[in-house]
Amino acid sequence: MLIEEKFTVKAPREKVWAFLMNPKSLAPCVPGCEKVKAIDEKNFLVTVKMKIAFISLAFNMKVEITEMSPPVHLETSATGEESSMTSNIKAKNVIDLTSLSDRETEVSYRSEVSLFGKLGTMGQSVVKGKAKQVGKEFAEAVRKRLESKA
Amino acid sequence: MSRDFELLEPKTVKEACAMLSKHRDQAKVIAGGLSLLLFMREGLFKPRFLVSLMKIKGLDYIKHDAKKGLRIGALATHRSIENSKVVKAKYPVLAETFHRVGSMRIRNVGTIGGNLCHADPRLDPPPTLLALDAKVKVVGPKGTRSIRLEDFLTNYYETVIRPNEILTEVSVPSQPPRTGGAYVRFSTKTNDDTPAVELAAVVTLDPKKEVLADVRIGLGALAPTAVRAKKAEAFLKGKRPEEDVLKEAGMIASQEVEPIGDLRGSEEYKKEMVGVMLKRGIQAAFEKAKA
Amino acid sequence: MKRKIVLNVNNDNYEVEVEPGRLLADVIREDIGLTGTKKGCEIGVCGACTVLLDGKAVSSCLMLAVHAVGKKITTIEGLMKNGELDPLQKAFVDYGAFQCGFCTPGVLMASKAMLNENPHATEHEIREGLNGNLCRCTGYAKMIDAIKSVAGR
Repeated sequence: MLIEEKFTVKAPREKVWAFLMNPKSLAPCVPGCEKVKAIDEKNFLVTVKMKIAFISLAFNMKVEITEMSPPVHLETSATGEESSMTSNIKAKNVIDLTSLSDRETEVSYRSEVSLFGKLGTMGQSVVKGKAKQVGKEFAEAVRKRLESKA
Repeated sequence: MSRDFELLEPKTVKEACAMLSKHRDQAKVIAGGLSLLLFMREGLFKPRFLVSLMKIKGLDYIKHDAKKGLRIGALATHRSIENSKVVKAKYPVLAETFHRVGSMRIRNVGTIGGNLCHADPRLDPPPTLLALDAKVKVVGPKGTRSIRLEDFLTNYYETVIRPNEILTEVSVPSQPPRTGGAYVRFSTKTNDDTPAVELAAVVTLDPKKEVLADVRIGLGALAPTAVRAKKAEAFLKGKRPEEDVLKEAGMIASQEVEPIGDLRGSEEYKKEMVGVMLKRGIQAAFEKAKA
Repeated sequence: MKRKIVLNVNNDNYEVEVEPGRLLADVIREDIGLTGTKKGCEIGVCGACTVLLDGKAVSSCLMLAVHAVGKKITTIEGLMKNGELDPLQKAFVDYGAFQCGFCTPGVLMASKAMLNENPHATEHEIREGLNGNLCRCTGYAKMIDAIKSVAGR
């Protein structure tokens, strides 16, 4: 499934890039993100929890930075397993930062997500719908943190 | 499937609420169990306690009077509502809608209360119930709440019900004269598959002219919950259901939802189908109202 | 924690010891030994597990065995009476309405329930009654003819 979103942040592009590239600042913005461990410069282990009503999901992911052109373009590849071991997830993510002005940046991301396993019972559309909501929360969190600092 | 749970079988709603209060997030209510067991079998949900409502008597009624309207007990099965004489006579669109739920086997076991509390936006009853201004009665240790269905459904599988509350009744007000309804279930695959678009249209005609005095449209499978197409409703009010009017109403309604592109249709396709189904639904409801 | 329950199946009472999470289909097949009821999709869609509960068709794969206590359960084995095939079963044999036979118990139970409610069902009603029973072999046509022949009487 494809998840595509755009949002604007009132901060210069370099600042947004630095923010997104730093696991310590990025992780708290991702709803449900509990652990980020850097294995090396390009590889990270991430645990993300997601709740869909009474269903609690915990994804243990390996994220690899596959392409990087600071401060404009970032590509990552993530694979993971849901902790109950009934589902797997694969995602290819592309993030682009566009300067709208010297104080405003547009962040656009595009994720190609594949879900395998039991989560299919709920239907891809439910997971996608929830992912969109999570995306909105992410955007809000990034804006809040970056704009208050600026 | 997880076998590590205890099945509690209260005999009254009060007892059930007390059990839920005691066990909080470790407990979940089970009625017919169709939706819940599906999740449990897939390992997506592992409760420690299930509070079964199946031993509680007297919650499966279907009553009607002119003043209070229709009142359905939460444990009434879809089949009993589909077949109910009074529902067929007074709220035929509701009988039609319940007829479309799943298969006979599902309708024989699934309950209206379970359906609404499960809150999957792709279920059939909510759009019609929304278009009929339904309310739900929710009982907890602190008392009873009456909640409009619109306010009850909040997100995928989420409602405003508290962990120690039980939905006990669904009520639908009496409808004014010259009111007709239609339920449209558009599936791009098989007849009984999850639909791409669900649309319920309930219209009331002006007493003298063939003009839409009141319009209520419920939409399902197009947003995190079933929703009312309020802007389209406002647009249609006071107008005749002519081609160009319905076309514009369809466009307005399609902007009121955010369908997810999936195997049953892309986002654009579903939005376009909202317009097509709105036209069909309003026209059918209009004919019923005239009769 | 296991508990002893009594299930009334085909007019016989069976005492079984089950955990609350045991499904009716499994208890019927494994504990009681009546394997005519099949497990197909196990998500309530295919109809292979159809049994009657107080005369109504239900998916036994989506029902807790404990929820069937106190009800009359009828499985495919219960269609025969005094060693005689039910008219529906005879019609299926006469019309050649099954091939691999896996969906057949479910189809028979669903049709039985439908005809009990509506003994002179029209073809449309028969087709609607079969909505929810999947067959990969026959294409349904002979099933419909077989059921029609019984409904016509």
